[in-house]
Amino acid sequence: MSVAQDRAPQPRHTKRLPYSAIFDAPDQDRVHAELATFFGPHADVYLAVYEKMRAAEPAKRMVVRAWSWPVFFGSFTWFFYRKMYAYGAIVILLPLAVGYLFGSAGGGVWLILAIWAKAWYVNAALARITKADQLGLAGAERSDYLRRAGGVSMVAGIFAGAVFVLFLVLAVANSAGYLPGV
Amino acid sequence: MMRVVILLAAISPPLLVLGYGIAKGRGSWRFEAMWNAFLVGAVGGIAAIGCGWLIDHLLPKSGNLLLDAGAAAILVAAVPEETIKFFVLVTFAEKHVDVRRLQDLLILAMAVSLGFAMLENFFYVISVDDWRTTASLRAITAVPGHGINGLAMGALLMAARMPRDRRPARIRNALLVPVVLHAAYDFPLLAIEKNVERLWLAAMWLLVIVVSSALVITLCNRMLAKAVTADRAAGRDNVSVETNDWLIIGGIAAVAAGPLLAASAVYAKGVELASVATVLAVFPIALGIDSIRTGLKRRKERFDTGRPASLAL
Repeated sequence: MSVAQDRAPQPRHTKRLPYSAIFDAPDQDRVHAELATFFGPHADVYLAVYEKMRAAEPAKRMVVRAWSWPVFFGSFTWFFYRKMYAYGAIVILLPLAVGYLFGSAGGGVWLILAIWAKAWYVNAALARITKADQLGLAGAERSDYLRRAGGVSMVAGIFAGAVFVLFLVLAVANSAGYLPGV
Repeated sequence: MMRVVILLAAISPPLLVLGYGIAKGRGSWRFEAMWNAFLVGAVGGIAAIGCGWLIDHLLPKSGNLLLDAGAAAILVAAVPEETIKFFVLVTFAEKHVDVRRLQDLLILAMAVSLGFAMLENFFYVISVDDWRTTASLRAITAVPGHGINGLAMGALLMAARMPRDRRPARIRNALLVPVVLHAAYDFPLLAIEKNVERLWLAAMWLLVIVVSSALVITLCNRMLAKAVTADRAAGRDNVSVETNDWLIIGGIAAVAAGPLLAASAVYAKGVELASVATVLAVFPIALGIDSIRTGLKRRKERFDTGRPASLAL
């Protein structure tokens, strides 16, 4: 075999897709148990999304759509409640920066969040399981790691809820002309 | 295009100061918990704006300019801002599953503080016409000031979490000291805004910056040495992260760029004795000198012992 042939790029269909080892693992009961440990309350909702991802074509597993009413009505508060702090913060901060740069952050952001949030959450869980594998965690230590990484935080939900209410008050005050223009 | 430049001018100084914190705590830019802390710290900035606005409207005005400036510095600025940072640090950042080392607390405290500073800086810089002067002056005063407060909060939280010397009551110091530092920094500025005698207040403000820099950096170095010992004893010291050279390079850059930025910002306003403005760069100079000193000590220990230095500060 020539050097040129050795260095030829791998065909697209042979590349490993993210988390394919988990999706294709023979012991799916164990995967479900670990995901349920990570998800905490209402784990069945997110396990259903995981199964939808598994059933999808491998290339489309990461972009499965699943509507979320809590995200539609509560926006970033749901991300904070589910301890996805970076996602929640980006949902708040990115529109500020985009709004400053382009004048508007676009009105369809909430719809996009409501469609993709559950899939992002399942992806976060799969990333944690992968990291637990990399750390070589097993048994009780592994369960503890997943439980601490996932679950919900009522305090974070209330904190984000307060910020959400603040935004609503500012929006109402702005539309009523109570706020000075910048 | 100009808006992109303004945005970068607002968000890059906090990230540069955060680089100091990461190098100091021998962390990494890829540390997920640090980015969580930074971003939630920025969200905390929004909450603080709301709290500050509400308190400012509820606070009765006495008519005494100094008293009003003092009340505003403590109740409108220092207490809500530092309390929200502390809340974010102990409620979200510290509980991240990847936080294993005591030294991580220092990085997280700085990340929360500088995320907060980023948002505050963004609103300050975009809301004025002369954004260049505001961005330059805030980059060498308010932003590293938040960094110093974060350094104090992190060092005192590390002290409260020491395994052999655990005293939970010390946790309150991690809130009280930054509140005092923040109020002491803001009071002269708010009094100057209210047209109280300027010269003495300006001198007092510079004195506050010098004293707080020296005290906090000394405190941080002492606590960090203990934290490294404790982390090493617990087998949680990742000596593989090598940051000595970045500490030295970053320190030299801060010592050189801080005074230049101050002088150029004042010169651009048409002030003749712009070189006097270099005194405004106390924070970057202090952090820069500490950065160089830390880098050189770690490098020396590495050459002396033949292994990666970690105990040296």
